[in-house]
Amino acid sequence: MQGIASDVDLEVVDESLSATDGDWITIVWDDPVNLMTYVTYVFRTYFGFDEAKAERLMLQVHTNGRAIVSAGGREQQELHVSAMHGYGLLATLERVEG
Amino acid sequence: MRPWARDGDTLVLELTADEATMLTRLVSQVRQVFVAVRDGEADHADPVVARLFPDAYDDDDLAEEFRRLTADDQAALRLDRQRAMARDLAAHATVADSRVRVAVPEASVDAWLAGIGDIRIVLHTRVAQGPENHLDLSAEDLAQFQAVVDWLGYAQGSLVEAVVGGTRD
Repeated sequence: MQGIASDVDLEVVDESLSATDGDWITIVWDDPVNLMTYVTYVFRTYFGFDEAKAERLMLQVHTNGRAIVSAGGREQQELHVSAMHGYGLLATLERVEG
Repeated sequence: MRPWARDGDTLVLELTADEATMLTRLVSQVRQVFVAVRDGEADHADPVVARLFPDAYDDDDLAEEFRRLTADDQAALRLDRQRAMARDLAAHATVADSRVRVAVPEASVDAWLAGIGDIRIVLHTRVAQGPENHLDLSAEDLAQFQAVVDWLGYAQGSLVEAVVGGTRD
């Protein structure tokens, strides 16, 4: 992503993003072109995350190369992945194995 | 270009006449990509098409199946965004010093942000391919593309700021 990162604690426990065996997760991947502020905007607008959560997940993508932004049923995650693609973000879904 | 500014329920972009012409042309070119995908005539091996419609699954077969099921709607949605940009650009007002004032209703901000993003992705992908991989684009062309990617990044970032940080009058 393009932009300058500020210090944010990336290791916050987030119940809504925890997945159990058999769940599907949506992963957003870092890319060299999208702006950090735009990615945060997308997370806020599409998922309805508050600013702090959107920024934390954006920084996870930027710093770790990927972040889990959603967990749950397969069809729902496919919708999320499709929406992320629509915003120009790289996103995949995968099944959580126990 | 002046940064985006909020004016009531609209976001306003001020461009030079040349900038407005360039942006209008870019919108038209990127529309053609989505038209081709929607009509099933796109080359999915083209790095630009591959980047705009990336794999949803690690598994190639699942990724292909996902693309087959979603590409039409995806292309139509993103075509609509480019259309919204074209409509707002065409409805511009010319202000002093032949500058152009583009007014974007708040409901179209999402289309503009994602639409600018798609144009940046197309140009960035062409630049990333490198000059040796183009028959019709020179190194100078690609340097210009990169300058436009940066310019559009400024436009996109400034619109995010105006819409997120801006308070209503």
